[in-house]
Amino acid sequence: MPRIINLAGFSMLAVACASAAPEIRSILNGASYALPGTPGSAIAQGSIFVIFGTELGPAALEQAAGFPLPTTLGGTSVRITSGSVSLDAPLLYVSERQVAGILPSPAPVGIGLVAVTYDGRTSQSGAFRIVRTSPGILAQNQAGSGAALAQNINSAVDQPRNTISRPARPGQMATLWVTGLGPVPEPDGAQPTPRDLDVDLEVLVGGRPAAVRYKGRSPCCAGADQINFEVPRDVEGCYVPVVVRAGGAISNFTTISVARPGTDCVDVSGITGPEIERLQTGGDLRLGAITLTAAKPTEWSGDVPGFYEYGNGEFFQYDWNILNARLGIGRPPPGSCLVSLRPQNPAGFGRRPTGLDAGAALNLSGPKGSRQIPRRAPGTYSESFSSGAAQLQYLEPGNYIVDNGSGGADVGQFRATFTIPPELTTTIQRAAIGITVSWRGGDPAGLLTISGSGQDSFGPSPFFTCTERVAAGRFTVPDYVLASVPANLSINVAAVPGSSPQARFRAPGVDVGYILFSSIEY
Amino acid sequence: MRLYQLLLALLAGGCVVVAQPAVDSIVNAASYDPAVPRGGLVSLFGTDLARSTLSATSTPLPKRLDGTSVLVGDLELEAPLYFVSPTQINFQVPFEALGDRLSIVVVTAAGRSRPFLVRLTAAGPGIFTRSSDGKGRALVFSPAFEPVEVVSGGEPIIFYATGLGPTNPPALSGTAGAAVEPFHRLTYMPEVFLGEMPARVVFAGLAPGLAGVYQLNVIPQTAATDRLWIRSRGQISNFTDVGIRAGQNVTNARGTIELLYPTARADAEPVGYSPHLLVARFTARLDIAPNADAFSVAAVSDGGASSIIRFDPANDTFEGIVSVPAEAPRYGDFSRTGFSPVDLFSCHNLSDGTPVCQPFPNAIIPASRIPPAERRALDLLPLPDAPVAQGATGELRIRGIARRGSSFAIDADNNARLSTFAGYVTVPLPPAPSRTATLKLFIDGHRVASTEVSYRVGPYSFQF
Repeated sequence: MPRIINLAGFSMLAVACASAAPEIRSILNGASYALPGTPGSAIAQGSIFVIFGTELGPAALEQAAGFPLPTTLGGTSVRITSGSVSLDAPLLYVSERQVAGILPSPAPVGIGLVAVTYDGRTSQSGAFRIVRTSPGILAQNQAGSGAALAQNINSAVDQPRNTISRPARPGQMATLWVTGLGPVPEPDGAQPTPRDLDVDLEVLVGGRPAAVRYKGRSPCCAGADQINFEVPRDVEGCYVPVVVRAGGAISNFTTISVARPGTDCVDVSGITGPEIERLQTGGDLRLGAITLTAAKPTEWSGDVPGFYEYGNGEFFQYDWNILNARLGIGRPPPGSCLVSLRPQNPAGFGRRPTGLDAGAALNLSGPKGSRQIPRRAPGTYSESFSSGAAQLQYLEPGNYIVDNGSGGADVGQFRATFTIPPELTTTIQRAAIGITVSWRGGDPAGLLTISGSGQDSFGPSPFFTCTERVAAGRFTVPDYVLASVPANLSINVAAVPGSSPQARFRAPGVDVGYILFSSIEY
Repeated sequence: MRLYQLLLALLAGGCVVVAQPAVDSIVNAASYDPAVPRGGLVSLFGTDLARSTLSATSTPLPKRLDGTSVLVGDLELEAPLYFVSPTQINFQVPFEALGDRLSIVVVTAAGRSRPFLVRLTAAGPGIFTRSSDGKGRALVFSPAFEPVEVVSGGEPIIFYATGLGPTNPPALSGTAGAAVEPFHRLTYMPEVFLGEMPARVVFAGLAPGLAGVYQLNVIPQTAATDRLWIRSRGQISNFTDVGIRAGQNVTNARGTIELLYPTARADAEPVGYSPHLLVARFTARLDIAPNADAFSVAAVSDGGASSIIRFDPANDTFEGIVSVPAEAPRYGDFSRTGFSPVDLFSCHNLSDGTPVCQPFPNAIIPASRIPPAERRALDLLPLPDAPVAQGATGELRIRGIARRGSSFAIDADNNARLSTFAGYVTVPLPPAPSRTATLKLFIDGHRVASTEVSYRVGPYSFQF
């Protein structure tokens, strides 16, 4: 074994402590939080950026006291280098793990390097791209996803924040808060002068272009832009997608809620905005979900070819986190799409779901006779109807009745009728201009989601979810949606649980009950 | 590539590049893990990567060798190169690269490779091994830089790693660690475990004269097993091994270790999602010597699963620490575990051959997907002593009496709570049809049982 290298002796290196210094993990658009390497991650001249890392500043948050913004705050400074130009960024706030500032408008377009100095120690530099325009919509979660930071303009003095319990009305004016519309001639740390910026800009609300009345710096806040727009008249829902295209770049996807005057917004799942707020603030919901599945392996799976049919029942009391995962609350309204850059992360641990006693078994009867789906664990019912059979053995299209006998301790007696619709067959066409999905069959009264998602060795990719009525027969995923996600996503078309009135059931002790049939090729 | 080869300027006979370069894989140069650490050393494998074999002869490392360069990320930062050959390139991931996914492109006179996507991590510790494949015996040296065959508690050792992150003062990409003060010490001190016992780290920083390679000087305790590994900011390195000195505190040591779940049976239910539970059980019997000093019994497996029992015969006591699943993952909630659950049932090839799988929304696996066999396995395991705020597993601490000169047993009838332990294992994507778990049982430094068990991951038939 040769020596590695003639190093200083062990005793000379016997110095134990780690040596803390600032470390930059990422520098992001201060509104969209688009991750490096994803579309929209470039940072615009004159826009707000956020640096995440460690040891970046003091333990307690320090905010700039007023204009002009300082370039050293709480012992932290941020140096931006692009080409031969080095500039100190005006700072909005600093803390141990997060620093926000404004990319100076004169920083040349190209590859920039950022370094943070705190307490006399300087970080390793991080590289990022500087562009003229890169819109990011401020979100209420301050992480670039979910509800937009938007205001309903009811009057000059009544401009409440848009929430799922305070929807905008179709046709009314609203304000969207963004950053990254472009550089300004004044110093970036000074109080901004409002003016319409010369930028080619479009606001898409529920996939429809909205009329824009103003686009430029807000007089209040350095680096922050506002867009005043008219909510299109033909959109409605708790999670209507809002996206900005400016200077050839596409923002993050956020949502606003829109409902006709005097009504609450309604999610695609059928749950209203106020009810969702109740769940989000600690409420529970008792869900009864009966799913019938016919699965057919493809060559990939390696399974014995044939049909695998099974029935499942889940009767649980869920909190928001787990319910959200089960019901997929937050889908866009029919005809529109949402892009999520990160997998959804619940706010905290889901509470252990409580299995509900809905009886000893579910009884199913249909064109091929009767079957039982017995209880396997509290709240969990399952049965296999066939395994590798050459033909469908049980779950043929037709009318079914499901009941739970005399009921159970938690869920009273119920009896529901259900129709397995003609098999949903889909055709997915990937072309240079986009992806078009067309379909036949399915429940004509229901909704479909068309989603593009993927997970590789490195975790989930940014993904899109579109919703459309089954009756529409086809859907083309818009180009600005596809431009915001990786090209190699897997396209999945699935019925929205409970979206068809005939697939819902009522039972004592259940808040939401639905029956879902799915036919899977895997 | 052996480490020392990285340091040598080798000039091999050339073959003319005629084809566009193609990248097959990129791994941590030490651990062979597919995650790529910022500032770390990685190995890229492929075809037509260079005309000949050529190494850097000095630092700072060049960004072009024999006409070959490596571009990192959408910003196309040029990576410092250690070594190029037609089938392998060793390079340093620039410290300046940000983001969690990076595309890597190799550029030669014949053109550009298709981008190859890697996951970038702030830390991705990898320990260099003798076989240079991330496995087996670690490259361990004495303070005089002589190879060490057997590690003893209290005696300092030096070993080498990559992927330990930034330093203070900051090192420029491609530049070597300083050979005199101020050394490039790590900003984050890693934890080093030798034989499941934390070792005292007396120096951790860039190795003098090397770029992207870190030197660790540590003083180990008496080892319970032969494993050497690092945890740096929550990331665990490859498990390497070292020679250890067996103790003389027990006689008649014997035991067994087995994987309870998943099972290796041909008709076993396949694992339908990742991460999946791994449950192991061991038995041990030993006679504690009349003059016994402190010693340990350690059963370890993949996925951080372990049961480690430390005996203190001087005080007639033992304390065991057993890893068991936290509460939330038992009902499918992995939202606070650091795992991103994947539905293996959804995996398929796209038309271009790329395999993809669907993640479970909100990191929650539906209760109906947890197969009965896994429920039964979970039923064997008590909840951790304390609720787990972050992570998929927690601890059971079990104390009891063990006297010098007496026999001690761990099995279904004796000290049974020590015998069953568990962890969670991620299935790499695209999933292989089977996985292997390595289980080891050590008693007082003697390896009394070890096994490698293959179990079924796919095909992904969904059954109850």
